[in-house]
Amino acid sequence: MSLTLLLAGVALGAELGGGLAVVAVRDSAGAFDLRPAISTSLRAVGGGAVWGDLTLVGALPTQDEGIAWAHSQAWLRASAALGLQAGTLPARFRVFAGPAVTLQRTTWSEPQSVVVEQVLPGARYGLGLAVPVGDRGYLDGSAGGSLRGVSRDYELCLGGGLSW
Amino acid sequence: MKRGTKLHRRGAHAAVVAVLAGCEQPHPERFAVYQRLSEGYEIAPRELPGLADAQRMTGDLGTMTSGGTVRLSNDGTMSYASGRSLDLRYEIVDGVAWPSDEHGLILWSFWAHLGDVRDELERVGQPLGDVLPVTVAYAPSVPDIGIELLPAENAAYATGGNLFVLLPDLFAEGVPLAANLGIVAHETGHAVFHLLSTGSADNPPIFGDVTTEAGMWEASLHEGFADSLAVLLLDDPRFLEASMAMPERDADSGATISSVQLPDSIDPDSTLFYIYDPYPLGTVFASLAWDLRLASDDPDAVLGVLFDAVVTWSDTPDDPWSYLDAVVEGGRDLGVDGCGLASARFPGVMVASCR
Repeated sequence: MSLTLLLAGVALGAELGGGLAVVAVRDSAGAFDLRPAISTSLRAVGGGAVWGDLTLVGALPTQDEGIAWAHSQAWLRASAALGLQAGTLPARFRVFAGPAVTLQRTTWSEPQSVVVEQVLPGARYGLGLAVPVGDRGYLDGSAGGSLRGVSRDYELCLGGGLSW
Repeated sequence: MKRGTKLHRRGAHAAVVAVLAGCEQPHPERFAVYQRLSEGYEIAPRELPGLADAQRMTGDLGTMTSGGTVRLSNDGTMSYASGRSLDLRYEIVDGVAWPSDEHGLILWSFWAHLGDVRDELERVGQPLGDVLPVTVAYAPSVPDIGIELLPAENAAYATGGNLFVLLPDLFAEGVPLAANLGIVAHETGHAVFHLLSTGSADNPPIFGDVTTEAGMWEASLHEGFADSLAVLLLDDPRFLEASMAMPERDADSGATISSVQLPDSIDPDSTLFYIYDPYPLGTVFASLAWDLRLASDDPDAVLGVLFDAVVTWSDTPDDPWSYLDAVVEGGRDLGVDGCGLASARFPGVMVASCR
């Protein structure tokens, strides 16, 4: 419980989770580039209905090349969200929204070595479903979107974790 | 032609966008773009004159947007339901803007080439008139199968809609079409042909319907003129080569009408879903233009001949050979044996001025 209190002050519980994700990152052309990703969350649950979390979602780096150019790109998003959860069954439905900041780093190796780094404020939002497993475990999934400047990305996360 | 563009969403929407964008990016002096060399292309920095906003791609030449939908109207023109503002992110390193992905290279390159083509056309006495400012649709959806936008043909100018359509290449081999100076000149050639033949970028094409014989001729003359413009402005009969291997489109390939199907010989009713390919006949016309250039050693003068030929054809559009006749006559004025060149490319065709 001390960990929980440290995390959220009035929190009654905490969850630490992670999982696999697919993010649809919008490129400059307005098209979506599907990328595998990894997510991890630290969640403080207060009073059963309200929770807040800190989440990191990072896409695995891409490598692309064309005539006269080559680059790799990394994508990482950190967000803080407030959420509501509801449900009379063990499964709980969740909705969440909050501010986010996204780092997109493109490293050009051809025609010359240049790093283009963008840190863009935005928001993250979505809905999900969590199912308890055993005494402390849970499985969850969520689908949502996020804003990066004026661009919108989408993400689908499946994972699980432990709760206290 | 119903123009469907709704490009500028101002007022409250612009304010929201500005807030969400966080902060405006500084406008760079130079940009990394595809530049044509004597052999191939390289990515190198250059200025983009007339570009006011490098993030949203707006300026003197026009406005670029992403997405949206291009549709085919009943009169054969294309209309565009506009997409969203572009959001090109970049970093300025040593005074040069580098984009956050390859689409920025392509879009900046297209802008650079369009500006160069505009300048060249003004130099030879054929300004683009009301073609500029133009709308450029990047990666729109094109749901109508009647629009001839094939994967290997993913750059277009929509006559009557005054719209450039650019689709990202399916394969990363070769210079992207929209970043190829020759392709940009070719597509601008369509705009020039339309301007000369109808008087305004906003007018519908004279025929438009490519299921009719006259429409097929118009389409081939369009392609032939557009190829000719690219070949002569670049002084390169193989401008496509850097992007795709299509030797049959080269203006020095030896193309003649003996190997192409003329619209006169096609019965559109005989085959369901018949789609006329305007390129083979167009290549013959472009090859004749290249012949004239070689014989006269004056590509600018040949361009002038072609501009006049389009106007001549538009005065008598039911006679597709009037274009050829005007080219031959113009060649004669340049001191070239136009009849001899035409008889080689168009064997069996009686050119009026050669009788």
